[in-house]
Amino acid sequence: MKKIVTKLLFLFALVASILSLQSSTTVEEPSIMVIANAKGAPTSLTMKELKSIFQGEKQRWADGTKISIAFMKSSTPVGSATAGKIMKMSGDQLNKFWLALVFQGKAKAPVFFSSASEVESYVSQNPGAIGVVDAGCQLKDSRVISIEGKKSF
Amino acid sequence: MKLSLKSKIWITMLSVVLMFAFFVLFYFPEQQQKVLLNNYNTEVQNLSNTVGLGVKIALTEQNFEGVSTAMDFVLKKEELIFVCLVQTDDSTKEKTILKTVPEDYPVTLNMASNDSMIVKMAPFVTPTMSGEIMIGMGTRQIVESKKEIRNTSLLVCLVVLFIGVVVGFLLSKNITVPVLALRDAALKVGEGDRTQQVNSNGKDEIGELGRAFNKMVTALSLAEAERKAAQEQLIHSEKMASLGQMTAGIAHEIKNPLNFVNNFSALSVELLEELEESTDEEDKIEIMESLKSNLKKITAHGKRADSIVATMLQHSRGTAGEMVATDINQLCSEYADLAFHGLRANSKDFNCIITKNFEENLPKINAIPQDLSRVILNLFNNGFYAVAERTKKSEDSEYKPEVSVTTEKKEGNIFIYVRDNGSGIPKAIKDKIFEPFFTTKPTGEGTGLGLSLSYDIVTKEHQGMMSVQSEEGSYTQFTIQLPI
Repeated sequence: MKKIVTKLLFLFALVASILSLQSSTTVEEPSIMVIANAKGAPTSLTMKELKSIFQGEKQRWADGTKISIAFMKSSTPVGSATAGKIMKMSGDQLNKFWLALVFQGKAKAPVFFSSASEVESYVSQNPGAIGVVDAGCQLKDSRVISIEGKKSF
Repeated sequence: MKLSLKSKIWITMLSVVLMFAFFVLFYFPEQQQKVLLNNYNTEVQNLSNTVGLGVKIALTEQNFEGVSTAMDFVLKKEELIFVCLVQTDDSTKEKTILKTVPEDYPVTLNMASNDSMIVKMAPFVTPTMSGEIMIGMGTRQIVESKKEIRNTSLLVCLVVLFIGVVVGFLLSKNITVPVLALRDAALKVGEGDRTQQVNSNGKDEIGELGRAFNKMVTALSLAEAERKAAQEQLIHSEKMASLGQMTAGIAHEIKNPLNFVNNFSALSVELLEELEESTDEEDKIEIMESLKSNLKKITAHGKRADSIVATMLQHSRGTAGEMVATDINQLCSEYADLAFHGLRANSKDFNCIITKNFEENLPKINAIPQDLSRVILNLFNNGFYAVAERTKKSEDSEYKPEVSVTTEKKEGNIFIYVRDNGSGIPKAIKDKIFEPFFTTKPTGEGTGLGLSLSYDIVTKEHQGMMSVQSEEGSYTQFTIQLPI
């Protein structure tokens, strides 16, 4: 009987631990912020404007500088959050979306990086560049653009 | 079908040009188009593969640079009709056209290559999606290339045709002209003109042929001149031989009466001496009668000698080749005797019966007696030779050599038959006996010209005919037919 209780307890503990592990994987999406090169982008944008830029609809800034986009890869949490929060798409959908645009020669595809520092570095080096990094990212030469008045979201 | 050398040269040239034209106009362009089409197919396939690879990289690594570069390259192609991104549903394998450039081009999933367009597909598989890139490219460039090739081929054909015509013209000029000249010259040489010479300046085989021909004609001309000289010499010898025989015959003919004249003259001298010495009147009268008889005989034999000489003179009178009215019976009779006595002068042992069957009242005909007499003399000589040979060879003691001459008038012609009962003429040589230089006699005894000259005298000079009938071991008969 004692053995059975021990076994049940062990099973319960196992199920509890699996559940607790599951709850730990469904972590909340990280906060992201939009950064831009000193040249081209305005200091603030609406979400609609941002979406229009990231969907290749708006391709030049008001001063005429060509917009170039830098994302983190969809396999990263920030990349996934970018697609989800701004484009309301999954990573695969974003890929397909941009494939279609590039296929038709309608827009220059975003550049995807594996780390935030690479995104920040690309943005700071390319005039008119705009990118998305995690909210806590240390910026060097780029600046944060507020979206709907928020620095991060 | 008889084709001239010129036609053969032109047919050969045209065949070569036509074969060349066929290859250049049809075969080569077809092959070239196939190669071009194959290359183009490969190029379109490569483009599809490149775009497909770009798509694969873009979807797996989120690197759109490859597909962007590939699409830039594809979209710049002038021949591009459409490029299409097709998605394949992983579970149902159903295909859907996602994007097409240009957007309004009516692409269907079952499009295939045709004469105006090449369609190629390149599949790609990624975890995100599977599908294929479909590219359609126009074949205008190939069609234009084909046209260009055909135009060039046509131009080449015209140039080759022109060259063919020029070469054909030169060949026919350089080959047929001298060959035809050679043919004409050869024909004229064949007709007896030995002065023909052809232009032989060429350094090729035709030039050599011309030189060889000229050399041959020169040699032929010389040989003919030599042959003519030799023939004339032989004819002269033949004439001299018959003259010698005639002289012998004539001498014999005259010798007989002369013997009589001499003998009776000597006898008359003796009788005159007896007359002077005789005293008896009766003896004197008898001697006188004998003298009278002797003198009559001397006169008769003298007349006979005179007659022989007169006949000879008559036959030798007149210019050579002149036609005079001739008594054929008399001519045959005298020359038969002359031939016999001529032969007897050389060969005392020879004997033969001579039979003369002359038709009476035979009209005189226009003939050349000097020449016709040679024919009779020749035929009798042959007849005597034949019977003499048979006498030598024959063991038959009953054999009596005989040569006969017969004349008759028949159907406006006079026929002379000279027949001997010698050994006859073998069938194998019967056709050759009238050919010049043909003889069965041993070397030195005959020139082989006797019958040939006789034949010419009868047929050419007297427009008559001469033939031979013979049976081996039995007889030979020559027939001369002379128009009256």
